[in-house]
Amino acid sequence: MQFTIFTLAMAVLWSGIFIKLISSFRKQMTVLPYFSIYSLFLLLLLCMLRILFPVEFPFTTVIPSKSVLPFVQNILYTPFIHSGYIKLNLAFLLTIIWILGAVFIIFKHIIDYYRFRHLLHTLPASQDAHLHHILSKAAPCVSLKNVKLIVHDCVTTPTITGFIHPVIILPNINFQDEELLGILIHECTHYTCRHQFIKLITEFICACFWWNPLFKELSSEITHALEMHSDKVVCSKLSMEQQKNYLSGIIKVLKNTKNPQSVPAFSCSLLKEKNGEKLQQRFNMILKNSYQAKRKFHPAITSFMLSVFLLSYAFVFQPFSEPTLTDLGEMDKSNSGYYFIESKEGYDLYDCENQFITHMSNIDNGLKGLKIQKNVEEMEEK
Amino acid sequence: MKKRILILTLLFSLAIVPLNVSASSTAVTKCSAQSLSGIQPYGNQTGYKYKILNGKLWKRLWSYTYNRWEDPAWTLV
Repeated sequence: MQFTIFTLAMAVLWSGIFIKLISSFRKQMTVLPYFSIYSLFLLLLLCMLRILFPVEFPFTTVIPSKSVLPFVQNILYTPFIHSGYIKLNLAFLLTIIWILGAVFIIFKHIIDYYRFRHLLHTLPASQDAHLHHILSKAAPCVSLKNVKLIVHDCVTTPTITGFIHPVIILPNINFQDEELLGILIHECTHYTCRHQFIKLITEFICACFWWNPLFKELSSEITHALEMHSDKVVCSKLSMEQQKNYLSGIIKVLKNTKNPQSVPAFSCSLLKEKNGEKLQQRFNMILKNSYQAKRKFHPAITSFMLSVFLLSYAFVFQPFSEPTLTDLGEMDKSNSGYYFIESKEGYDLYDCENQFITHMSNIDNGLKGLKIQKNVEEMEEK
Repeated sequence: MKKRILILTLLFSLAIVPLNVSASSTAVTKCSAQSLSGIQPYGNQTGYKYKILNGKLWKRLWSYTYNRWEDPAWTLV
């Protein structure tokens, strides 16, 4: 198992392909009978694994590139500042910018998270017994001692945050009991299914590849998939009538979202993705009973996804460059007694005493001037 | 269902990783003098290059992948 800059490039390339596949399949989820939420999660998992393991295996085939990649390599690695021990090339400069950008974004996320947690720490927990009663109905397995429930205008959409000590923040909206029941089931599902950890890993990966716009799309797709998963759990616990009340609760939240909220990246909200197409899909999936109507895993689609995943490790493109005459340096131009004998798979090199030295498939630039004989006897006759 | 997904993923991961996998990330050198033709399963593709200087044969290891010499100097064959 080896990691090289080329395996990293292949991982980024294949991740882009996976992201486009995810987006394409996800958009058709409502009509595709064989692509369930679990199939989407499997595809997302495979995409994440491909990024997290940018290596080549012993079975990986190296495909040499003799023109394009060597040209790019030459641009990146030719130093533009060469002074004594200091050599600066474009690759080094881009690497520094990449690392600094990732570090800056990660620190920004951490600071935003702690600022938000500090704000929540200062806000009083809701003492509304009715609210707590609905919460206990929504998530009977969640210990109420661990969950802090806040009602405040600092958020415009119901949100849950916290990895060990969860805090549910509800906007100051007048929800009906069944609307609130659906919303609280949705938020508690984020916590019980550890969605915040998935978001944490996602945001870390997206921060590392901040320069790639496709990874923002990945973050968006993962967020939407987590929302749909929570919706699925809501649908499994509520009747059709209650599900419609849940949707009316979402509409109330939509009407309330006039100003953008400042919620940390790895918190889970009811309406994180305000994209019209995605919101419409969420509504359609619930109203058309799509979550219950599909098989969890279809053999053909699962096999296809795993095959693509394995194929992504099957080959890697690498540059292939021969040394130039400048690289070879000083050498004799005249014949010095060495010669080649042509064989089936290349050329055998012999010295002036007709002793075999080595075999080559092609004649090196440094030995181009040597004679090529048919056999040793011919050379001895000469 | 989560367990099934996990088991399925682990099974296919085991199929990918052979038992004798090496985690070394150092350059893999090839002692053969063959110039590379075709496809090789190594990260760093290398091969010896030869030249004649002052009537003697010299060799030095070249990295086709990284476009650089792997040996610090020419050595006498």
